Amino acid sequence: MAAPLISQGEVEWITAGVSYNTRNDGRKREDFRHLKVQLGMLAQATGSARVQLGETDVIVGVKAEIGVPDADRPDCGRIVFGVECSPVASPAFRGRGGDELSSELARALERSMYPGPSGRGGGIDLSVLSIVSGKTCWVLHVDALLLNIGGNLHDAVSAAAQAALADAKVPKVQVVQGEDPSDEPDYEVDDDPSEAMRLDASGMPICITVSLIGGHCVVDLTVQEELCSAAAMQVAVDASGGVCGITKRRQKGIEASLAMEMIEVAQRAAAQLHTALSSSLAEQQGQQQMAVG
Amino acid sequence: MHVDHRRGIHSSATVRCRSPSTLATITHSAAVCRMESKYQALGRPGEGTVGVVCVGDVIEPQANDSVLRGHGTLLRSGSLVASRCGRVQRWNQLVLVEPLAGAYAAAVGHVVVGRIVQVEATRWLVDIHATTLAVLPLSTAGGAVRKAAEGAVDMRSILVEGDLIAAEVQAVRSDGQVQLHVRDAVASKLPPGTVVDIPAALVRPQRKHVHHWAATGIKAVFGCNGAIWIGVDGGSSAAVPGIEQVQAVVQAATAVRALAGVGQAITPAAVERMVP
Amino acid sequence: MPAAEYVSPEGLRLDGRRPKELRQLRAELGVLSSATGSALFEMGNTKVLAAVFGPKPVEQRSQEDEKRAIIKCEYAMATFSTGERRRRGKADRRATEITMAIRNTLEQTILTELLPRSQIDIYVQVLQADGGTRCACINAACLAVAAAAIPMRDLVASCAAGYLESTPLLDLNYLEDSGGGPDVAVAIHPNYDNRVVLLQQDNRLAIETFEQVLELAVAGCRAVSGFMRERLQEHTQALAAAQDAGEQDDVGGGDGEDDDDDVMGVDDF
Repeated sequence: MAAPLISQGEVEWITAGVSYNTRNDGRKREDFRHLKVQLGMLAQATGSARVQLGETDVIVGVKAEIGVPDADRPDCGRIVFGVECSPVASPAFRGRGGDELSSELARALERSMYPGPSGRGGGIDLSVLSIVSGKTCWVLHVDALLLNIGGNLHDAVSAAAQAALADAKVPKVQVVQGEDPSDEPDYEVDDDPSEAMRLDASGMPICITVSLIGGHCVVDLTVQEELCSAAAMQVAVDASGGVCGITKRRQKGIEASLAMEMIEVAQRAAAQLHTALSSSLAEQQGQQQMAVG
Repeated sequence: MHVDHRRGIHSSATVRCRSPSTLATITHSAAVCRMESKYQALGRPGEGTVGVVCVGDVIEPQANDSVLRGHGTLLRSGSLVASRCGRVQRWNQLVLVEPLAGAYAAAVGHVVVGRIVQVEATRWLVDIHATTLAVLPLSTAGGAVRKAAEGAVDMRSILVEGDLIAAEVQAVRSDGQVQLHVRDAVASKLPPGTVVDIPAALVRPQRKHVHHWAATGIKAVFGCNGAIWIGVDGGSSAAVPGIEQVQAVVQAATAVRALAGVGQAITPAAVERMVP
Repeated sequence: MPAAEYVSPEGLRLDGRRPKELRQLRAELGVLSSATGSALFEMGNTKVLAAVFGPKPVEQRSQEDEKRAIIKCEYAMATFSTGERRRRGKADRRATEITMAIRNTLEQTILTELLPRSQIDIYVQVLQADGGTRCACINAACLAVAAAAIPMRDLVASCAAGYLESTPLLDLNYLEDSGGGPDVAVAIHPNYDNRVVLLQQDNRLAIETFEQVLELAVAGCRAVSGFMRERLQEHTQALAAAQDAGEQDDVGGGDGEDDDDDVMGVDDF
């Protein structure tokens, strides 16, 4: 399908607004749109979250499966990221139309969560997912589904993945060794939700996309604004401001000094988004507690 | 600005503030309050909104109903039945169901804001968010006709893909094709500005489709197809917009989105009340 | 004799329902801002989202039909929608079959001759599957089409019924569906004497039992159609009330001011 069209007049308008720090919806360059988070709406999933950032709408489901650990990280579990573009978001995603975008988004998520050789260096300590070292572990499949395109997909998807992992209740597993030590052990999965393990997702980085419009750094772009930007940097930043990954996007080159400025903007913006996300999570989880207890 | 019309919002005094976003929040609250008080005045849902039907509902006949049936209705075993959800309207003796949502249905005389999607030899194809693409023939495009008579016209020098224009619906064919008309193709191209897309059902055909704000030099075109263009008042070759113009347009655009967010009909008068 | 698995001696099913009881129905309209019409439909734990784009200009001119609208349909299941995580990939045979069922049913329902040269896209996304998925998809699609104010012959309502342990059961969930008994999925036009527009049956079923099960499924469809009509009525009334609120304001002022120029406004451009 053809890319969306925009007129010269609209591009001039958006560029002018950005230069005056007054965007089309009244936001400043470093302001985010309204963030809405809902947890646990998929009862059959290990964890789930729906995040709406302005018009962009993403739902993430986490499913836990028992599997085999990586050979080079035998005492850790695994987290596998996947992204799909639902056709309900746009006719452009019919058939295989969304494949390129979904691979790009999944790859970006994976890289920001790179756990390092020990498995403990990434956003989530993977060693908590181990069941029997070298033999069995939990494999968490984190699958994001795009429901509506409103611009700034990368940031929304990374926030939703964090929310879903924070919501995940990994079942408790009892390893029952057979009488013969060479027998394969049996695994009893405890269905009781109060015995389930919660993950500490607070160390996860969020991806912040910083774009250049008319030489100014702007975050959380709408679809129209994205059509006016020829260069962008995606910076994964964790809650303490640490930079976990950088990717340059779009076709135009960026001077080194400007690149540094963009990283600083990303750090400031990440602090805003982390605060908004963690307060939403706290509120949602508080409500869940009240509903249960 | 995120709007959720299902949440209750407390009323507030009409205080004028300088910053656009605060003004928008306040005027939005005022709009919601007026709407909520009307909800209460209308009684519980269903009382004041007589004549709302759903697909498949039988429309009770009235004495003067003619044998002709209008849009949104069909015959089933001798009774008139709604084929769409909406409101029953009677114009003279014609019974029809007016939808309150859905794609734009063009009619002669409507003013629309459209985007050029294709350039052909003697015409442009325009996306007006209708069921089919509209056609803007070179022959109806005013000033360009004289140039065409002198020799080959470079269509792309007048309007290219992506350009926004304001035009009037000149004709609607039986197969749904819409023909547009402008006084001058070059002048119909809209100057720097922004488009707010809202449901077409919220913009009713008005006598006045354009509103000017003389103080800040901006104007708005209310397209019946749900595209509201707001931007600089003046020729297409206007200089870079100034900060006051940008702020004024943002206020107007936020007002339009706020009204659309609560489902209110958008008219120049309604917007003017929020952004004088 | 083995103990009853699906229907207890007291006549209760695995989830506590009676044999002729529908699961809890929920629906929300207008949930996606980019689509012309959209709906979230739930039958028990089965959750389905439908979006309608159009009627709009045809994407490929070669497919344009000068007499009617063309309908494009797609059905997708999220990887997290089933108990066991699904493999990725949209193009499996079951998905194709369900897409065709949805398209076929809506083609019999939408008055396509009223919208020549246009295209209507209907997309359905399953978020959670717990039996009765194709029925929920048809219901969600119908609501989304109605919300997009596309002219329809009638509402179309769908429901399934089965037969286990000598009992006709309405609206099977996933466990009951996997019980090995027959599964009859039906869609009807409720205002045309419940005429059947979709009928699909899996597994062996004696003809006498088939009649019972079909009757039960049609009764289920009627109940679903009543629920759908209520939701659409509420939604349309809310739209009408909101639009009226704005217009009553305008009656007071606005008319008569700035009467000088632009009767039609084109001169102004």
